[in-house]
Amino acid sequence: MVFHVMLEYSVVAKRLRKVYRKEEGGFPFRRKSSETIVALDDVDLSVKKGELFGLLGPNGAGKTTLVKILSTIIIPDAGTALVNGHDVLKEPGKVRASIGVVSSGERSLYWRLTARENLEYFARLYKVPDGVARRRISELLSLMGLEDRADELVEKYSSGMRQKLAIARAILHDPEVLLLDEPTLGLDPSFSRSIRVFIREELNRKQGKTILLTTHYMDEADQMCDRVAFINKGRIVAVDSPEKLKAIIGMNEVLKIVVSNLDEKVLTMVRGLPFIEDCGVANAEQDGRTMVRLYMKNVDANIQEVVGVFSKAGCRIFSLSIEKPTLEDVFVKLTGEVLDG
Amino acid sequence: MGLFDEARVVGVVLKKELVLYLRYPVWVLFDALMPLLWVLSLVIYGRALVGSPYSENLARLANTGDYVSFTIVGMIVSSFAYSTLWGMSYALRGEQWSGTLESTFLAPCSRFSILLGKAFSSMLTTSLWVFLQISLVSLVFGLNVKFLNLPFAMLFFLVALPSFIGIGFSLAGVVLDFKEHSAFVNFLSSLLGLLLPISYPLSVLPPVLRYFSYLLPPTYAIEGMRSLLIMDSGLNEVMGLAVPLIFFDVFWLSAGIMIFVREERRVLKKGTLGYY
Amino acid sequence: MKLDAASMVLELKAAVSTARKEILINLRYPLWVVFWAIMPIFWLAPFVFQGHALVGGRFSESFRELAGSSDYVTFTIIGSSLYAYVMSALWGTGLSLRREQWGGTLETILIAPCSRFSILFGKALSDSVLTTFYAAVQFTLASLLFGARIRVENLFFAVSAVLLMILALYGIGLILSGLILMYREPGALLNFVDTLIYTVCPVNYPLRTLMLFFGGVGYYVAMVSIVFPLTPALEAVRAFLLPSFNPYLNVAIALSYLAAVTLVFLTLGMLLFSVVEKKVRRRGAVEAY
Repeated sequence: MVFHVMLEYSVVAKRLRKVYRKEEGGFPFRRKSSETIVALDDVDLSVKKGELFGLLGPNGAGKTTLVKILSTIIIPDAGTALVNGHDVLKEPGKVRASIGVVSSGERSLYWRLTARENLEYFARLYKVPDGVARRRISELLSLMGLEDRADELVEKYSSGMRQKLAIARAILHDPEVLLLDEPTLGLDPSFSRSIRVFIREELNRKQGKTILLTTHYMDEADQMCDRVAFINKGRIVAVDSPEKLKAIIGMNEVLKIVVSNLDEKVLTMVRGLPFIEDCGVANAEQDGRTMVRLYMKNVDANIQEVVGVFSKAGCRIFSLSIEKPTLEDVFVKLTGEVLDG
Repeated sequence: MGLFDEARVVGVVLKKELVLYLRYPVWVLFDALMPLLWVLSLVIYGRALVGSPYSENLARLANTGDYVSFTIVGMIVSSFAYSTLWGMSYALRGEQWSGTLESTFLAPCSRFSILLGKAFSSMLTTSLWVFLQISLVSLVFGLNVKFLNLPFAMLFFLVALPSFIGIGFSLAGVVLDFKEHSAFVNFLSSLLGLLLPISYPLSVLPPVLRYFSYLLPPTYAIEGMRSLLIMDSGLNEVMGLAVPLIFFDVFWLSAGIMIFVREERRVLKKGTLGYY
Repeated sequence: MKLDAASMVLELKAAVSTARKEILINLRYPLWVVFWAIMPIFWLAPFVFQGHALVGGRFSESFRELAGSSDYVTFTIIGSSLYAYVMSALWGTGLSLRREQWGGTLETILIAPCSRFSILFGKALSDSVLTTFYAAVQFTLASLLFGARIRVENLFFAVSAVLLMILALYGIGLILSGLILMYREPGALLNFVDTLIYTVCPVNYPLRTLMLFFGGVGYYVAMVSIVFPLTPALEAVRAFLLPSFNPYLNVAIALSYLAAVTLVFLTLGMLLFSVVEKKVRRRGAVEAY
């Protein structure tokens, strides 16, 4: 069974648990406080070979902790994980040699080195032979569109360019598995788009790499991933392909309505309407407005009645929109939380 | 990873540290000037105390009255000791500050290769400044040193080096975990400055402090180098200093590796590797 | 800034409140308090031991010829205790605004409706109180360990000289503080300035040493060191406290110079701070790290 698992799955995590306990007091009088944060709570996860797998959840859900455990940078409190058949606890060196990691934020590169110097340095750390390294660096700089500025200091690069360089660094040693932790965070839309296309078309489809991608952008997971896992408060809530996840809501359309003065009475009335399949309420925003998602058929025919119920109840309506269900809608339905936290 | 690959890692880390260092020319300038100021400070103070370049009392205690040459040897050894001890931990903290520590530790090479690369880079730059320091002192004040014994003195220093590296590993581990760098480093630095026989022979230290001084590898390194470069010491005396150093080498290398491995594991468990 | 009595009272309250906040924060790092109080003994002791090695006792004939007093131990203890104020001006005041910037609180200070100089004055007050505590602890510890012989009857005059020095050093601290806000990596610069001051000022050796033994260069270095407030303060304090001390600088001249230079440095410091503040706000780098 284990052998089968190893052949079919590149990443297998079983019952991973991680609890952070704060430390109080200054050096050297540190002591553990009683305040704990459960970052991962019995997480099971498997990523098939060659799959582009998304981990979707709001900030603080545990995505980064999971990636760090899989990349051996954090030791879990319980549970096991295998990456490319190697145990992250028992064979961390082998795991590191077979993965590439890209984290969000630009601070994983040396700003006072040039792009080329950064790549040359990491090539050595990853024991890429010199001849191969030279060729790979050339290819990657060209692939990323950085060859014209390869000999400029990274501190002069834009965020998008730095992220591209970080990706180049991660695939320099041609690893089978890539762990991408929010790779498009903070980038402008056009750069984000080009990076997403690159990840899916070049790295996953063409080069066949197994990719675990974490994100809190629903579009990203929906458009790119073969399968998506929802993670919230350290727990995996659902795992499936984006289509199957959206089917949880059914073939309904979603009416999104932003109102104020919302209370349980109003919601009960709305839920009571015959054409309403389901209703999801995101947490109230600070200005007292709440977004209500109504899953229903034939929105056009029924929208007047919905508006009427809210107005009669004294709710002020700020906006209305009709959409096809998205992964975010599924997330809200399953967890009651929004992604952009 | 094979030994050859790890050696290449040491080399590339050394190269990277040097390249980064040279890209902060202001720091380089200050680093060059500081040892010159310390030397000046010592010369002025000595002159004020004794009124001449020669101290009879020192001659009685340490076989040489040339306090400048006496102290220069102490300063050179302590500079190298400090750069090895602190080179690794400062560099690790720097990587944590700039955010590159995680990406470095994600690589499949040995951590000790990375630490060694940093230590050697630190020692290389120290050599440059030490050379500048010696040149200045020779030119301006004159240096009375048995240059013929220089190769033996360097060999003696190489015997001491593994213990400095071992202590450096343990400090690097502690700093990785506790992150409270400057107070700790300052305290240890100041303590070393007091206990090491840099500008005075051990005999002027109160017995209690002398005892602690004998527990420090750099003490033997300084005394050994002085025996070879300044005093008319026989082979027996030098060997008498080399033997404890070899014990220290074995002890501190083992302890350093164990402490670093333990502290790294703690940090990985806490999940704070990349945190500054 | 309004100059009527009511406004002045409010400004004073802002200053005192700032001082109180700074002292409270400092006391919440007890390790640092112990460090700053005790560490300087570790820096002083090697000089005492070196003295013993070179002259074989606590008295140096050469010191007597250079400065009237042969007691180099007390000489050095006084120098080291006063140097605490220089360290405070560099690493305390000099870095205080940068620390606020790192901590993200600089913006709140600049937005506050009171004068920023009241805040800066409050910081100066807290620095002085804390440093005086450290200097007193150092002096007491050093005296107990190594023995210091001073003319206690002149303590009041010595303290007055120290107060003047504090004000002058504060102006320098302000100047540094402004420069450091502009340039992001202050550590190397501060280390260098620290070592430079320690070398050229008569902290451990009499001023005449430079002139007598280091020719023309020594003379010029001595003149430059006199410009820095620590030197005239050291001369005055030693003249008051150290028996038989023969200062290079006449005490009256030293004190008048300190008073004059205080005004100059304080004014320069405040001017520079205003210029830098505007620049930083224009650049949008108030909270930049």
